[in-house]
Amino acid sequence: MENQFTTFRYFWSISSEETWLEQMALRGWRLKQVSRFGAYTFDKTAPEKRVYKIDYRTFRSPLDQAEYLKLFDDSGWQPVMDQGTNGAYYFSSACEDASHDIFSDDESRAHRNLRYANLMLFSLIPAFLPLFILYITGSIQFTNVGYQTPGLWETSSLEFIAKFLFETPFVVVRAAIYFLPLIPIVFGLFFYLRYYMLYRQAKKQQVF
Amino acid sequence: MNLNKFLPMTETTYYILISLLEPLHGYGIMLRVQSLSSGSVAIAPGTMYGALENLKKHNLIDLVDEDHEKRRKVYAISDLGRKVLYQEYKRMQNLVNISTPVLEKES
Repeated sequence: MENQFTTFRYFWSISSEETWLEQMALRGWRLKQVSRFGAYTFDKTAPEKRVYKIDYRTFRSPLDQAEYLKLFDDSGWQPVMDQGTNGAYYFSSACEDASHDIFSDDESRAHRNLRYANLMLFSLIPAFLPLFILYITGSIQFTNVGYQTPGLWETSSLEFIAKFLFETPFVVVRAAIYFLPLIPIVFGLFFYLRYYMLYRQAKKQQVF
Repeated sequence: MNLNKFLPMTETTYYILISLLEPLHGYGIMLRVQSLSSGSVAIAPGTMYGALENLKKHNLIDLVDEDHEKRRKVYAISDLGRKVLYQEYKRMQNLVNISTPVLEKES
């Protein structure tokens, strides 16, 4: 039987990722590593009850990071890796209590969402910059995406359908090339807004 | 300096400041808070780290020692922190003094 297992996953929320890792542990797979691109590597162990929590942080110095990991380690939360993955730090605890958490008040729990949102925005810059330059310099022009056959829209029905169908695959390919790089950006912005709103919501829920 | 901008404090902040009347590292503060509150308050590490960052930023605590080998930093309350802590203590004491005759008569 294989002792290691790697899979790619993307999640809609932090808590669904944590729950998935807990379910993997129950099936005897303990998280070993998470790569930048979302590859999760697990080691085979005996099935165990394990609580997983993810925090998002950036550090100014290696000592700051070491202090942070040590603080968690001291309080019974083992860091899965010594380095964060895209600013994400994975912690697990052998504690049986599923409500066991790395945050003890709502304020700090809400701030995790804000840090996640900010990290998301930051990670968009390298994706956004080259694309932005290509648009600015005119290397990519959206007017070139559509149907290019001269006089296409004026031709009569049968000829139109033939020409239209002939060019459609080219339009699809052009559109894919031009718009594909936008997908991660759109997703990134979506997640940024989502987590920023979660943060705002938590702030608003404070009654007094 | 207007100390009132720091008030009222969250319970987490208050417990950390009162613990740091003696120098402690992060985990030391967690233990101190647990013993001070007879086990009823437990500050989780994510909350503790964020609170320490925030207290440092506002100069309510000072970094007094760094131990690279043990990966620990030792903090202590600053003069400003002491003033703010005392102000909060007086504020709460005042509330208790005002409330006691009113609420005791009620029950």
